[in-house]
Amino acid sequence: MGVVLFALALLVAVWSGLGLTLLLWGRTPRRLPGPGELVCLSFLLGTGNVVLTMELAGLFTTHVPVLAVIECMLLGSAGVVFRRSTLGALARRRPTTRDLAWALATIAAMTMAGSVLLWFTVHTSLEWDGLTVWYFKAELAATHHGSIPPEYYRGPTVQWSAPNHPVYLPLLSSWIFGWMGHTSEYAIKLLFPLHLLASGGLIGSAANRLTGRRGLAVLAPLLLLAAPALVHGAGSAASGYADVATGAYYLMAVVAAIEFLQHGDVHALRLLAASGAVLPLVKMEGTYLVGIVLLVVAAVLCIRARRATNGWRTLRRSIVQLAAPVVVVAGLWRILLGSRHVNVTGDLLPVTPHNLLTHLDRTGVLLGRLLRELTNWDRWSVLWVWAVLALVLWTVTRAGHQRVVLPLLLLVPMVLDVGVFYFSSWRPVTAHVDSTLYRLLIHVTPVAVLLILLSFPTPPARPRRHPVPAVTSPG
Amino acid sequence: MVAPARHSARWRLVAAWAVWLLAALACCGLGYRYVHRRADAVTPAVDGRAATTDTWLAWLGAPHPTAALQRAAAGVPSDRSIVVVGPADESGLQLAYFIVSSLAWPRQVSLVTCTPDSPAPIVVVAATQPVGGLLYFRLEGRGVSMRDATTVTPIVRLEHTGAGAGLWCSL
Repeated sequence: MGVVLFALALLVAVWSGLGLTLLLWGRTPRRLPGPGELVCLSFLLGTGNVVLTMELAGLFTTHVPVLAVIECMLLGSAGVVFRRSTLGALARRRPTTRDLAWALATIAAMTMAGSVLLWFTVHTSLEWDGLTVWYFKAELAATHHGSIPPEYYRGPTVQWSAPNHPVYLPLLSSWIFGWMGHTSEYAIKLLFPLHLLASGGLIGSAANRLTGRRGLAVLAPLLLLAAPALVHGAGSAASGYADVATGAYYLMAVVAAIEFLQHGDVHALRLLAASGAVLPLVKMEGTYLVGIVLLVVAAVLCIRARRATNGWRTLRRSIVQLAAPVVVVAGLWRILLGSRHVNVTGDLLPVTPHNLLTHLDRTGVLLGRLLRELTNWDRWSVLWVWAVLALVLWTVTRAGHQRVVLPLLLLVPMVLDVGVFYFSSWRPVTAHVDSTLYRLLIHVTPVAVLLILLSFPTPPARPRRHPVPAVTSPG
Repeated sequence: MVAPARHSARWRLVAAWAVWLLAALACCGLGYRYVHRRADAVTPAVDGRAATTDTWLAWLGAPHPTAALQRAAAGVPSDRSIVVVGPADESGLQLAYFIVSSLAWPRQVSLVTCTPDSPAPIVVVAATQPVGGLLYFRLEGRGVSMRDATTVTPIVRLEHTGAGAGLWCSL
């Protein structure tokens, strides 16, 4: 019965995500979403919608779960009703035998990855942060009508559970617990493999769409599975940490940014804004990750605006559309923490020029540790070495903004991931780096896999003569 | 001039394709090998709703330590705090403290450690609520009254009194 209720809770969330995705996609899109892409986006936007609704409703009422269910049903229905033409066009597609064969191969690869992740999820327990930071809050929210009680934030003896950390995982877990009628470690552990599979689906559909090669969609989940750090251990999809979920939303933002910059699609702009609204609620690092995407997109738009008439007006409109949801959500979260007098006792010193200059002597150690981590086969196989090769190939073979956008969206977060240790208060700092750096890399791993797949050379036997079709096959 | 250039471009493509194929094989081959190794090394988690905490608290020597601690915490009034007292060199104490703290909500839970070198206990985490119970970890019969004490697990006992700071333990 628990499994059925778990599935029902997810289905309601995904239903709202479907409605939201269709509404964001617009009335007359340049292209239709692929079925796989639609499922992945519905899952990510649906769970994000549930969390945002619960967080906002929790400020005003104790009937949070009921309100969230009503909102989800209404949002899903609105999307399906108002965008029935999009759904109709999707249903009218007649996939060829070849399309079906590739779709089946992709589903088989996803099933294989999912089975391995499920095995680790069932056979291992939650890791440290999974229990102390996220599960505790999830139980609190589940036993307090779907919202974390304000007195928790002021509690002098629960500061170890990091009250300043965002609420995506606790509230999503409490949503599941609410449906199941009891708390369950296994239920919340099942959420994380789903985030990793959603990443695999998004990578596959993006690679398929951008290169026209459907085999890459099959490779995407297999490559994610080849990184042991994503499968087992602290930070992995089986550990109950927020890193895999952060990676999934960051990937969604990156894919949307690439599509927006390439084709100027409004739906991509809206998806980027939506992922930006959720990221600050998933993990604290989410705020700077979304900031990086916004800065890179804004920089490209600025360069374009100088060349175009009316460019600045378009730029202003795009920036406002992009930044508004992020600023509102991140700002509200900060105000909420401030109003609850949360003591931010972290592992970091204040980010000041003085602290940076004082610890500049850490540069060698930090670069050494980064290099050691990237070549740690036990955690990453040869994924990062391959990603470096792909990066070089990408910058050599691409032109225009394409040459820099994806590399920047991979490299800048990595630089910041390392740079943050200039402000570490740990002694010695290497202990902090060793326990944290690899988990920060998980945030950008899906983007690295995307870069690898997009850099795949065209098979020599069949050089492509025609441009890639704009509308994709199922992916 | 055209033919050699095409030839060269084609060979570059073949080389790039070969490198990528090898990289894919190496990445998946090595990665799956390590994943398989990790699977072999996994110690099966304890079953039940409190699988993680029961696994982490196995050193307390009870079959269901989470439930035992939860029952003990529930015996303390919800407006009173619980003091976890244990030896500073006990490696699992801090983790046990975190778990007790989460199980005992809304009661505040403070942590006090004792060392053989120091006669006074060290207050690691302090509570603001009045003390309602003392949870002693591995401090069997050392300096504490056995009156009104409940055995929670073979090495944990709960005392339902507010004791003075200096009397919490003495190693």
